Amino acid sequence: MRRSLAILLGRLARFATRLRGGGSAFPGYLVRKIWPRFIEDVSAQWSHGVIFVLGSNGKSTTTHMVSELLRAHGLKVFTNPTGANLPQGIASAMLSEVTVSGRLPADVAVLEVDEAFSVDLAQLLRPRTVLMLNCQVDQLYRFYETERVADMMLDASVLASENIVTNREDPLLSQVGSRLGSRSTPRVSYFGASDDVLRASKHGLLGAPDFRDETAESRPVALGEVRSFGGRDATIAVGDESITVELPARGLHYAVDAAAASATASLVLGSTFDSASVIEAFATMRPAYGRGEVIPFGDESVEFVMFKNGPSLQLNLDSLLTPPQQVMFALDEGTPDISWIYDVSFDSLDHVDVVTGEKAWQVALRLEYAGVPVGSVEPDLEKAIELMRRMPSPTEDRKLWFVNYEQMMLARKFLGFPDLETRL
Amino acid sequence: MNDATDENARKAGPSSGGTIRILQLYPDELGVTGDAGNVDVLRIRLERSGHTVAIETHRPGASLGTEPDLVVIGNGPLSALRRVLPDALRHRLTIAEWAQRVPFFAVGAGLELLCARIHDSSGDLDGLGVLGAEAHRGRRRRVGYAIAETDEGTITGFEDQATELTGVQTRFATIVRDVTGPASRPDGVRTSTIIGTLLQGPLLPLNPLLADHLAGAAARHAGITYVPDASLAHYDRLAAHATERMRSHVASVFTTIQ
Repeated sequence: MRRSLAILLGRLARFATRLRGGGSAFPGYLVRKIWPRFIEDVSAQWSHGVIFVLGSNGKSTTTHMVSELLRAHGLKVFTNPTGANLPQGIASAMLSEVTVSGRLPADVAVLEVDEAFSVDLAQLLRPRTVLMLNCQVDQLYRFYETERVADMMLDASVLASENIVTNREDPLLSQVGSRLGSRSTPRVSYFGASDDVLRASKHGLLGAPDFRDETAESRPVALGEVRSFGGRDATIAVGDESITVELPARGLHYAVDAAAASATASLVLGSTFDSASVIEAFATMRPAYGRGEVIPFGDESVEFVMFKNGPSLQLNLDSLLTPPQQVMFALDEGTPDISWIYDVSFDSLDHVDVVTGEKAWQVALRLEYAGVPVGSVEPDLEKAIELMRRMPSPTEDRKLWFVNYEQMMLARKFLGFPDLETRL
Repeated sequence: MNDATDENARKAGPSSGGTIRILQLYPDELGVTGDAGNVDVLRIRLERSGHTVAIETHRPGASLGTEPDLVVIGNGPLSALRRVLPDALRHRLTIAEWAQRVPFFAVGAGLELLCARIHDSSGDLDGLGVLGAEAHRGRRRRVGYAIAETDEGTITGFEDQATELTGVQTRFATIVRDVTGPASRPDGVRTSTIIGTLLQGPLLPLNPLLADHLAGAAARHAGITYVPDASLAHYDRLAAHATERMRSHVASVFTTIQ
């Protein structure tokens, strides 16, 4: 009775906050006020348990990939929309799918979790599997030091009841075994990319270096490994099987995310893991919101390339085979510190047509010092989009827009593809 | 920036008349805040003005080479500072001797490295002692744009630090405005040869007057006169726009960061 009341009130709050516009963590807060073990009790119903996806970069993409792979194998998946990766946000997301009797019909939950809350959430949700993607120099203004972020993820991962899946090529996260000491559970599995693939990449995977540990451990065998990669095609070895898949977007980071997702799915599914279903799932997968997404723009279309830090911008630039014909670059105060932009190599661009966002002049300054000519600087995104609209369609490719998260959301709105992502 | 070219540059060092040699210490460890950008901007400004520039790097374990015309040390996490400290201490006498004559530009942890002592809750460390100042980490964190007055004029940068310096004889700058509004607090250290600051951005592309001050000092050490080329005005116009925006946003952003 009390539980139904909690859900009804939570739902009502959700309805009200959505009328007011936008999502909110308040419904999640309210339901947990009345039903304190809401998250614990509801999550206990899922037969295949909870999977956490952690990392500096690629959480949304990989959460989406794991969900789609499991769905392709017939599982009913509960997942959280991007941005709802804090405790109250996850409760709000659960609230949107739970029945009044407190049932949330799903077999498994795949949840992307903010690094800073990963330990708290692991204690609440008791994940069976924790997937750690990467630890990059990221949001130093928020986390101060990269090692702190790594520790948050590592501390959460050892709370997994069955599996840790971690990045063999990440200097910090690959060290998780040393945290477990002599413990045999959770079991540690790795994903990564073959030596050949890493050698062929322009700048590698750009994980933050580990300055704490002296000894470089030998490379363990990866359960999921990128064996070859080009553009949007990748061959991934999962155990003994070799699977060639079409990636939802261009870039080595997407191939590595696909290896991570495939390895995770194989652990969750065990003997029912089927490579044909994996190939099928990747072939029909849409890119995660704004990440390599193609959106109509008048008679033509634009490709959104979202970046959040130096490594993700570099990996996206490195994925370009030839310099794009028409480029817009949008960056605003949603990314407070952009000093890292001077550590990024812009060799893949031969020009940028329009630079926009509140930080447009800072970006233009960097590009010009990097020898990349800038056509125009227009800090107002809406006006910048009009400048791009007036340019003729590129003859060989699409208009390419590099955007940070906030500018991506705003640009979508101006193009008539509003904010679906915060839908809870 | 591989070791082979470093080696060549070092050999070419003092006898290569007309070359201005910029040495960046520990670029892998102390270089997370776009510090390579500061070096790049000095190189480009000097080259555009008709001079030959050699960028050299020193990494842990390598020999230090001959006296350069400018030393740049960038910023990094405490773990990185710990990592480079034993190597730096091995070269303490050479670095201290250079600091008598060679201009230095040190940012964040690079400045802490030059200090006499670095205090942290995880344990105190001996710095190089090139400066008498001591660095106290873990004080109130300051994040956001900041405007500062220096001998070279007004500069604009981005602060992301929680270090307080004590025992500073002459400050590098006075922060006059930050996210909290009008301010009056010291930043960094200045000696006849050293500019050390906790401001990033990176600072030199955003503040050409400071870049030209350092480029001039490096050139002078190499026995050359630096006159900024007129074509640099193109960069300076962009920098003026960028810093104008930063100054107008100084109080309105980043106030909610936890």
